[in-house]
Amino acid sequence: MVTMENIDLKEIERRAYLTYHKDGILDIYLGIGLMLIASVFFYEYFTGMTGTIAILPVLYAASKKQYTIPRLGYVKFSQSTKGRARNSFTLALLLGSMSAILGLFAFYSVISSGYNWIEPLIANWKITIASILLVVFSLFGYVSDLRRMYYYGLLSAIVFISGVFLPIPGYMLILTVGGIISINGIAHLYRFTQEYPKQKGQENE
Amino acid sequence: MSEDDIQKDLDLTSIDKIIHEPVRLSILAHLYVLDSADALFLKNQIGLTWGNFSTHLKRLEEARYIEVQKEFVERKPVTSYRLTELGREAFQHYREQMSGFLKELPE
Repeated sequence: MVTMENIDLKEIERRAYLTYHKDGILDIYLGIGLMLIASVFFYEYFTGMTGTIAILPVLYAASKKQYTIPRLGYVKFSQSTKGRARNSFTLALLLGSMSAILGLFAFYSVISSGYNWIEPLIANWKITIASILLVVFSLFGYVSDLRRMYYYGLLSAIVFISGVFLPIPGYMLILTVGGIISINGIAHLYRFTQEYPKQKGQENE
Repeated sequence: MSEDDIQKDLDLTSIDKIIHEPVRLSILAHLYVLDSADALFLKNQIGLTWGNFSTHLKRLEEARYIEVQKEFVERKPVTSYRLTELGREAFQHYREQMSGFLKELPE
């Protein structure tokens, strides 16, 4: 409860924003997205999966309406908080596109040859991907203020570096990361539904 | 700060008693940083049971510190609350008054 001695408006705003993302829905779709990316990269005939990735944001919004709003309530954040959410989304989109472009560039560079600098990166691709995921998740965590994104970055790095020493196929590594993130999201969602049960007849009265 | 100002800060009789109540202060603090929210969201954030929560909302509404917004979101009616300009000013004034008072207390 807020009293004059402990009133901290920034903390109140931060807590409200974090509660809204406590449901784990973001994690579930992030994990699914990674698993789909694994399928796209490692089973080339699954090209239709790219379309599935594009509908993930729509499913995310629908899940928020289905699970979060009836339990947590309806809220409109101020412009500064919306700005943070927008920044996270833009950053995620930007980094995702950048990684895809770099990936394609690396692929075509190797095919057309002559780019020696890219060869060690390709040869040690597990370490390269570990570093990229660590940076992407950390930046996402920093901008969105969601601490668990740092852990996902660390998890990705550990899984991919383990892949250097263990005979695990590449697609299994990204499937593992995506799977763990999704399972963690489901656990968060379960806890969220227990903590905030649906209250019939009370919402929006 | 002049002695008159200090005296004014120490005079708690002029404190806004509508705001000077933990539940109502919490509601105003939340609406101060959020654009708008419904009663369920506010209740969850403040960590209360329904109890007399609606009475506090009503009290703030009567004082015109908050206003009710009725809108349709995805074809569902949503009743949310937002801080009025009067409520924002009253909350700021209350904070200044209380900060001044607390600052002047001896260690």
